[in-house]
Amino acid sequence: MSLSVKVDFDAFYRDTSRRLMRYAYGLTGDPGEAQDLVQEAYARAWQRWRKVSGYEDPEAWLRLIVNRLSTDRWRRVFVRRSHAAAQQPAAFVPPPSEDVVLLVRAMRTLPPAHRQALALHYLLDRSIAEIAEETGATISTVKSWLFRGRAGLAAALGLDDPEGVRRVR
Amino acid sequence: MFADLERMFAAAGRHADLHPLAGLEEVRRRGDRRRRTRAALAVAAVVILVLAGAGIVRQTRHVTPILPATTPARVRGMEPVGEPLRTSAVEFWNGARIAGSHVAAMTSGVRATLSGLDAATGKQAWTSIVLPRTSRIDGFIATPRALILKNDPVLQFSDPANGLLRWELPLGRGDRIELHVDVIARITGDTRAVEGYDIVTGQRLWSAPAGPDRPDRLGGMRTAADPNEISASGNSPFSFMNATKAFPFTDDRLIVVTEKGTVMIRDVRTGELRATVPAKATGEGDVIGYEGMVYTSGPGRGILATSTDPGSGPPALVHRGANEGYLPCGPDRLCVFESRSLTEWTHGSYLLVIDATTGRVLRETPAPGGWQVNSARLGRIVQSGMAGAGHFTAILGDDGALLAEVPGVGGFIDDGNVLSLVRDNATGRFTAVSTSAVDGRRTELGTMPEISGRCDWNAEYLTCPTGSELWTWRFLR
Repeated sequence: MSLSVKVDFDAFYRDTSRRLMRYAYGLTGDPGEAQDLVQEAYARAWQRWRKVSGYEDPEAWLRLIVNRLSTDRWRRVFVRRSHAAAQQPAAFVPPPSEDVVLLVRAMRTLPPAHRQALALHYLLDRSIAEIAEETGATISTVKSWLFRGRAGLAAALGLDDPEGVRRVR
Repeated sequence: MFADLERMFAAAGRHADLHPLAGLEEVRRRGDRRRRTRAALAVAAVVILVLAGAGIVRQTRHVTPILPATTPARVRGMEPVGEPLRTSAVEFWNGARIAGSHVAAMTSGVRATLSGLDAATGKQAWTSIVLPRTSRIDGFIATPRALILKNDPVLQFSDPANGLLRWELPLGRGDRIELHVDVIARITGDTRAVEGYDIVTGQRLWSAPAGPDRPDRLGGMRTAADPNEISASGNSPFSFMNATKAFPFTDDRLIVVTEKGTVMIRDVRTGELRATVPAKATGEGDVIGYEGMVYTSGPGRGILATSTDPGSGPPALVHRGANEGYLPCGPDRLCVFESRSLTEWTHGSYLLVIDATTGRVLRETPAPGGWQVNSARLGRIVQSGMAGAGHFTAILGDDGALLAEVPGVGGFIDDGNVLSLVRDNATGRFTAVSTSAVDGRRTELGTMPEISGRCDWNAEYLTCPTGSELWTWRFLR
């Protein structure tokens, strides 16, 4: 590809990859898997960058790829070994806090749609209208996903102050 | 106690930020070749594993001959067919598909190749084809009459018997495609004409101009005898090809849904218009046909059932509101997965069986697994997916009750048997387990090395990529 296309892709990667990593982490709860999903999503974007860069919201396309990859039952069966074998030794990262561990565990108990809505809302700061547009669901459906997602988290976390998790923008 | 969720998510976000991301060069390299970086290391790891003695398949013809007979016959074991097909040390098998006795498999590594195998003999049927480095392979589909490679933006059709390229179909922006066992149909993105091509010769069999109410979506009419799987990625055979298996439809009825929602039935071989049923537009969702009934849906529009049989009633809105997913589970029967609040703070999934002619809910049962990769045969549903960090395969009986649940990835072998591949997390090896969809009894079929891509199976054979070896087994009854 031409230099300008590379520069364009590089800038896009720098601007968006951190956000996508947060999103992938929210969906999977596994940093190693999230790293691999993010890399794979950008690899696919690079593979067809002329087309993807013409989309109205290329970042939403990447999230769609991450969504699909994260629910691919076959990929999850074997990816860890090949991923681990293909990577250089990982840089030291401090362990997650107790809150993060509990949240990740609780997120795993939720249906994918609720997890996706919560990740978009809390980790990417997306409004209900924006989540509805991205997922193709209605506003009331997204509200329902968020409500049920929060309710599920509250139940799994044993929160005794549910009012604290009720706020909806 | 814990602070509110916002603080916890903020902590999770900060923790995510600490993890380094791949460098741009690495991303581009992976994108350029769509092969895993340093595949040689991965292959070497697999080779070492194999040499260490983990690579020998232990076929266990299980000592449980007293299990009662079922129809179809119970799968009681499996035996390897021939020797595994081996790659060079710098590649690994990353996916296999089977159609009839034709197995096709692809490798990744320093090069990508495609190979063919005769499942009946276990012998390589044709020499590996090295795919050009410029390939944009999105996956491939094996059918009894054609091997279809999606090399974006072109579909390449090869002879499954010898791997030779027969013809190519360039895809345009916005094209919609659907796969029949003999014909590939498409709506062209630019003119919205509908056309059909012979999948063997590439000859254009017919073309129908768009007309004022332009064709928008395509679907195939499935029969009760057709296997199928529907996942979160949708019902299209060309969606997410690396992970999903395509099930070409066998019936000659091609479904065309127009922008205004009209359902048209065309003969997929000739293009002849057989039926036109006015219905409502439902937006961008899948089109699923089953035994004369067409299901369409869209965000906020519910699920509409339109009968295409002569003399049938008007389209019926059979489900309103949100659903997790749905699939036809019998003639005029629709199975809908719905998420509901159980209490103010907990939710659960329910399976609704709906009469598609009236919209009446015939039965509802808890479905703890929720919407997964789903398939239905003889009223039974198999779900395969993930729950938490693990995998499961569940069989719901024709009464909606959970008949069996096995860890691992799986699906129907035939109408009466369900396969699941169960990973031993300590060793990485897999055990193949057959569970009867009739009585829920399990039989261990054998073990295999760690798999390195999607396995595939039909009623007779199972094939799995396992690093440097491609294994094929025959099911024993």
